[in-house]
Formats: sequence, structure tokens, C-alpha cells
Amino acid sequence: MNWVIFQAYIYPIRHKLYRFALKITGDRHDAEDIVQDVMEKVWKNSAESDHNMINWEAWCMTLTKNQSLDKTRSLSKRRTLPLAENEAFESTSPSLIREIEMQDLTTRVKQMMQDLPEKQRLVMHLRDVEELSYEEITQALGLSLDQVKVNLFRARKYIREKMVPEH
Amino acid sequence: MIDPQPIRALLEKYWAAETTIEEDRQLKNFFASNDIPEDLQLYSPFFQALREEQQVRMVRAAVKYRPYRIFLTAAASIILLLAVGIGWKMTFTAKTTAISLQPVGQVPAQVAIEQDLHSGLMLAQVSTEEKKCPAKTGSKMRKKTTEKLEAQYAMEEIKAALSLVSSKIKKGRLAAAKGADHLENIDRVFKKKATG
Repeated sequence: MNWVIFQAYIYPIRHKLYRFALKITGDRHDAEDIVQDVMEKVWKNSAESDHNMINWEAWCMTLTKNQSLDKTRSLSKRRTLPLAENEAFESTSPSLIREIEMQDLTTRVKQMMQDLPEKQRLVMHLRDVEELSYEEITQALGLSLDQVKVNLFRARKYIREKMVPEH
Repeated sequence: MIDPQPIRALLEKYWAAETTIEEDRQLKNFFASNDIPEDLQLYSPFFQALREEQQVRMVRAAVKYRPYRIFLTAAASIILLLAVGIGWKMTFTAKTTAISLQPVGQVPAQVAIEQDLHSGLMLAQVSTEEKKCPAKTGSKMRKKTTEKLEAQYAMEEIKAALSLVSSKIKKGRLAAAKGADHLENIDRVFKKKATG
């Protein structure tokens, strides 16, 4: 791997990869380990492969997804919300009732998003959090364009229905 | 206050999964503001959740073996080798000088110092001094001269070492500048693509 390519394309997306790994594993330490492994793997990638690479981000997302799923399956971990998100709620100023309510609702929404079926959850994360294009999502998850759109539609519909029951 | 009507239309498009990334960003920005109409406030926690997720950062260093460490290790090795080399050379020089000084005032002693320290000028000065006032000459003066020569030699060695390190740093700077140029070019291409 070329150092310039690594600096320009790979290193800046480490936080994205981390969030994606965290979304799948639900564990900060596991997510950090996965990102380090992915970075190492990418760094060891041959120069020949560098030239053939079209989308580094999608490829890194694929590696992260595979590593995260392997880890989750091997440990049979139950997905939970990261601890810091609950801590954020605790650290909110008690005087601001409105803010606390808002934080409480936000935590619930996050839990709803976490409860989505795997494909919907990952598609929604890549689109709404990481702002990837449909093409990038198809590459990262190995799904067709239609599958990506359907999963995104279902995910958003589920969240909306949970937030606004009459919908 | 932002006109909420287009936002309502955009929101419907969003739930139908028909918005572009740019439109999604417009919605996120709208819900990040403080002027949200009451009927839309129920969606705020959702967009707040997305914003919070976007802010999650990896705390631990992402790269275990940073490639620039290789350069640091190489630089440290060069400096260490130079230090050992200078130390050895100075010890060796001091020994040579001490041995050659034993037959005080004789030509072979001068030659030994001359060859080893490349400083005939100073020795010539000593010889002149010897001729002028032979009482002052002898081991005391030679010792003083040797010390001067050793100091001069050490200074030369340090200069050489520093110039070597400096040339390496210059090389590194050039490489970094080259890399920065390359990155700027990449950035320019992306910007061009984004605007075009």
C-alpha cells in the first residue's frame, strides 16, 4: 500500500469504520480492534491491488462488516447500545428538563434503530449516518440497488411508525 | 425562521426513501435548529440520534504500526551510530596524541599529531613559540595545544554530524512537500468533480 493513498483515503475514514463496526458489534473495544485489524490489512495490501481499486471506502466498509460479523458470530454477542450513549444521558444537566426529555427520546430512537433487522440496520447506518451513495452501499454490503432501497425504505418506515404510532 | 412547508414535503420524500444525500443534509440541518414547528418536533429525536451517531469517534489510535516510525527509528539509529563513532574517534585520537607526545619536541611527534589531527598550522605555531621562548615550551604547552586540537577536531566532527542530520531532514521536508502537493492535486480533482 502506498503511504499517500493510505493517508488520503484510508486513515481519514477510521471513525466511519469504527462507527460501522460499533453498529454491528455493539462493543467499543471490539470495534476498535476491528478497525485496527482492517487498517493493518489494508496497509499490507499489494501495490497491484491499489491500482485496481475503484472505491476504497466501500472496500474498507466491506472488510469492516465481514470482520465485525465474524467477531459477533464467534462471540455470540448480544447487541447492546454503547455505554457512552447512556453516560451522555446521565451527564445532562438536571435543570434542563426539556433537554433531558429530548435525550431520553433520542436514546429510545437509537434503541429502535438498533432493533432493526441486520440488513435494514446496516443500510440505514451507511446512508443516514455515513452518508454513502446507493452505489457505495451496494458495494459495501454486497446487495443489489433494489435491495438497498427496499431495506432503507423499510427501516425508515419502521422508525416512523414507532415514533408516530398513527402512521 | 425557515419556511417549514418545503421541509414537510422533503420529510415525506425522506420517509419514502426518495431523497438525495443533499436533501437528507437539509433535513438534518433544519432539525438541528431551534425553530422547529410544533407538529414537526416529534421527529427531532430521530435526527438528533443521527447527529449523535455521526459524532462518535474512535478514541484508540487506529494504526498500530505507523509507517513514519520506520523513519524515526532510522534517524535515531544514525544519530546513535554517529555518537558512538565520534566517541570512539575522540578516544582513539586522545590515545594517539598522548603516545606521540612522549618524545617531546621531536619531529616524529609532530608528524603523528599532524597526520592524525590535520592541523599543521597549530603545530607550526607551537614550533614558532618554542623558538621564541624555549623556556615556556615543553610538555605544558604541548598539552594545551593538544587539548585545543582535540576540541577543534570534536567541533569538526559535530559539525559534520549535524550537517548529515540536516541534509536528511531537508530530504524529508522535500518528500513531505512533494506528498502535500500530491494531496492538494487530489483535493483539487475532488473539488472540481464536486462542482462540475
